[in-house]
Amino acid sequence: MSEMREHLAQLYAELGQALLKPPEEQEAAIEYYRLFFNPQGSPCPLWQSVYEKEEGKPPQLFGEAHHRALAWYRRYGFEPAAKNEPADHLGLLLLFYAKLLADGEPADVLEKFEDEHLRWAEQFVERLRREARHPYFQDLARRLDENL
Amino acid sequence: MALTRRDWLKTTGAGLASAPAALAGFEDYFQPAASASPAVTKAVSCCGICSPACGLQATIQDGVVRFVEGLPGDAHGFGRLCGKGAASVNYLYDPDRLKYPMKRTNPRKGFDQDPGWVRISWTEALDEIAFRMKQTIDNYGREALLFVTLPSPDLWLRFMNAMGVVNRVDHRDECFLTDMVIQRYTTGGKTWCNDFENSKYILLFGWDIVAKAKIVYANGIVEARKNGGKVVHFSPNYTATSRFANEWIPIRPGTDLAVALAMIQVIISENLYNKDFVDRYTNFGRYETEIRAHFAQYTPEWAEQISGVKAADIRRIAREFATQGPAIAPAHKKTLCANYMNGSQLVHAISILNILAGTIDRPGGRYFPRTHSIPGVDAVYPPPAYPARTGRRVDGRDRLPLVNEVDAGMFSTLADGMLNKYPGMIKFAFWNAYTILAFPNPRTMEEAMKTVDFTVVMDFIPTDTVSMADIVLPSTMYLEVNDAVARDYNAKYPQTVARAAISPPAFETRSIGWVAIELGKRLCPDYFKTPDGSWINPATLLDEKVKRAGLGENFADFRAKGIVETKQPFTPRTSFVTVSGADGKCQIYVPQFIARGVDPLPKWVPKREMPNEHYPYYFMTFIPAIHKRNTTQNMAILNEIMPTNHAIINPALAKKHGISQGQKVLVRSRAGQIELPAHLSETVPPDVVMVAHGFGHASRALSLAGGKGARDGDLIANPSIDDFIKAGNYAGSSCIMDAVCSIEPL
Repeated sequence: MSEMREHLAQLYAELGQALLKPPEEQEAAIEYYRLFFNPQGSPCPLWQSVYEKEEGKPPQLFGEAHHRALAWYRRYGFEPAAKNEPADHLGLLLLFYAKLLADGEPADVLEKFEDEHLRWAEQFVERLRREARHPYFQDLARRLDENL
Repeated sequence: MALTRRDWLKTTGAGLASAPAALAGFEDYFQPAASASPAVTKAVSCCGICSPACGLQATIQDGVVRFVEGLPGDAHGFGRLCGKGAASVNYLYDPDRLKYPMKRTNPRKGFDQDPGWVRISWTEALDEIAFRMKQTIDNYGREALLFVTLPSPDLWLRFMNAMGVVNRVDHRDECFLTDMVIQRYTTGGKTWCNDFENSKYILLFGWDIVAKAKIVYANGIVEARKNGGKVVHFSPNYTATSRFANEWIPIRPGTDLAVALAMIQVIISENLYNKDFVDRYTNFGRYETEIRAHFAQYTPEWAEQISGVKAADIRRIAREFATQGPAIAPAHKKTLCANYMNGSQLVHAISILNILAGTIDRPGGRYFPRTHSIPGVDAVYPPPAYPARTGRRVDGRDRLPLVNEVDAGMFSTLADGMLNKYPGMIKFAFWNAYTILAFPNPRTMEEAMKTVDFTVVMDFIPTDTVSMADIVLPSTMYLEVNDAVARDYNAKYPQTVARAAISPPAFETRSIGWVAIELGKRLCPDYFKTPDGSWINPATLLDEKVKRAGLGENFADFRAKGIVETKQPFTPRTSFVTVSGADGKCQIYVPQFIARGVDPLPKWVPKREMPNEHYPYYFMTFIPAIHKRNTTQNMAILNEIMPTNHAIINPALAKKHGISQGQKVLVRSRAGQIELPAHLSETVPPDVVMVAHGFGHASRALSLAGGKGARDGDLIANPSIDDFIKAGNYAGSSCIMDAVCSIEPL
């Protein structure tokens, strides 16, 4: 694997994981839950389906994007380990994209995945940029913005 | 996309990579695919939005419910779902759904505080809740525990019983509590069954039955009209039912009781009652002198003065009701049963009208459900003796002995009890699927919640209550659980429907029954063991219930059938009231009431608040057809149809105050004030301000419903138990729209 490819795979895997688990530090962890899993309403939902409103249908979890993401994962022989959660979590999508990179998938495959599952993330990043109060997530928003 | 990566991709071309490299962390979140099963399947279950449990069928793709629709041939939904039921998937996959157990890190509570939520495991949550409960009991006694929840499912009730919980409160005083209390003594029990389709005369006091949108009732009333039945609707405002009815009779708010008393007077004085039924199955003969003497005062002319309904109309409708039957006067939930301070008297009067019509458990009348007998957990696994429930009732309910007997309520007096009668008594609270929007004057309930040391909230979606919680628990919803539901709305013969988990519980949601077992293991283990010493298992318990009820070999067998119906002829009851001294008869005069300080016959009592110089208008509320109380405003499609509420006023009233369509207005009562846009409509009388219930959720909690509309409850003053006793409101009608108001443009 080329050095650049390896570098990018690690970068996207890292960005994905930053969205999949809270940081160690307590204040940053509280911010993670406030932004993404707030029981009083999350300012930045992590799932593609919530942003991609199908014609005539309201935003919801487990929408079309979930099914499409699952199909991608399965084509490569994988499924998310969390069974009853949507497959279109941005963290999963970035981690899977990193996997495609790491596995040496050709450019057209990578671009197809980007088109189907990463373009929407601009909206997420914009929300995160606006809502993040903790430097960790302000920085994450910046890094996502630069790399998506 | 970043230039660097794009450029790089272009230059690398396809297939240049060497062997795949290990990717750190990938295996933590992905695993080998077990199976690719994108098949589309169908599954049968029942709706859980409200209680009739209409049959539904779901279309499922790869484990995800795509949509639900009515189950053809079903005797409750008639192959249809209402708008709320059809939108079930919005509820199931609401992005705002509570997903994991969460714990507050900021000890300061208040709507202006950030609780600093962090995720915790279920084990951690349950351990802490159990510790706090035990600590509360040890230090302050069982009376210091407050459970804001219905007494169901049976596993949850068993837990509360095992813990000797004294203070369990629910919303039923705002719903049908008066009917529960009074029917027990007059006809034999509360029933949801109204045989509209065979009725020739349907008399509705306020109940907007068409817009209530229960398919089972809407279908019944449509069939009644088709079969030549007459529908008469008393209502201050013109509703969907008014339009559908043969006659709409406008009436002053809160005066239905006067009309009902006068109708009884006409029917008795003219001897128009169903003599055969009344002689054989009621105590009329025994108390005839007292009954005739009591009702003589309530003439139609007297009722006209109070209600505004013409005496001639009251007399005519009374005669028609008694002679053109079978006739029915249903009492239902929010309308009638709980609206005004005179609700107890009104429900007794309505019950007497049905008895005089002779249609109790007869074709065309209110009848009792024929159901399969499904044993509860206590029948399957008999528990050790429960501890005595000793302690004070924080809501003061123990001072209403007839209400205490049915063990329901009292949301309406809870805040008064927590703030004024027994301040500081409650130290631990567990809220299950209720929001403070359900309370009169919710701001006082917010204040009351602040006085509690430790609060647990379990719910499907974030409600305003969450902001006061120490621990939040995510609940499953009705498409994620298994159960056997014996239906009791259109139950002329037994029908039990399988509620099937057609979707796996999303995220880490769990059922309240499961929580009961897990807390039981920690706090009262002897109550949660089977005879062989193992823990009660919900799936095994359900199998046993199904088997004992004769529904199938086990739940899987029953689920494969979907619905079990035992068609049998309808045999009318000949024995009714079971309380001591009733001799199985329906009771018009209730002698048992006397020993409890309650009048044995209904008497005139005015509503609590009347228009005055400060607040010159009646305040009325309603639940729109497209929403269920305060629970569905965040369901996307329903939110799109009706996102907010308005102050609905007559154009004449608007003109008087210089209010134009859509203009923001200030509506004030002695309890508080709300701001919302005006909607001008001829359907409400000029002395009424009408506002839909269910709106005014706090801004942060719900992404669609949050911050939209105003809370009707902010205008409803909290009643106290003393108010109820003074007004003869012995069955606890909670006054959910007993208020008067002013209005001005902003």
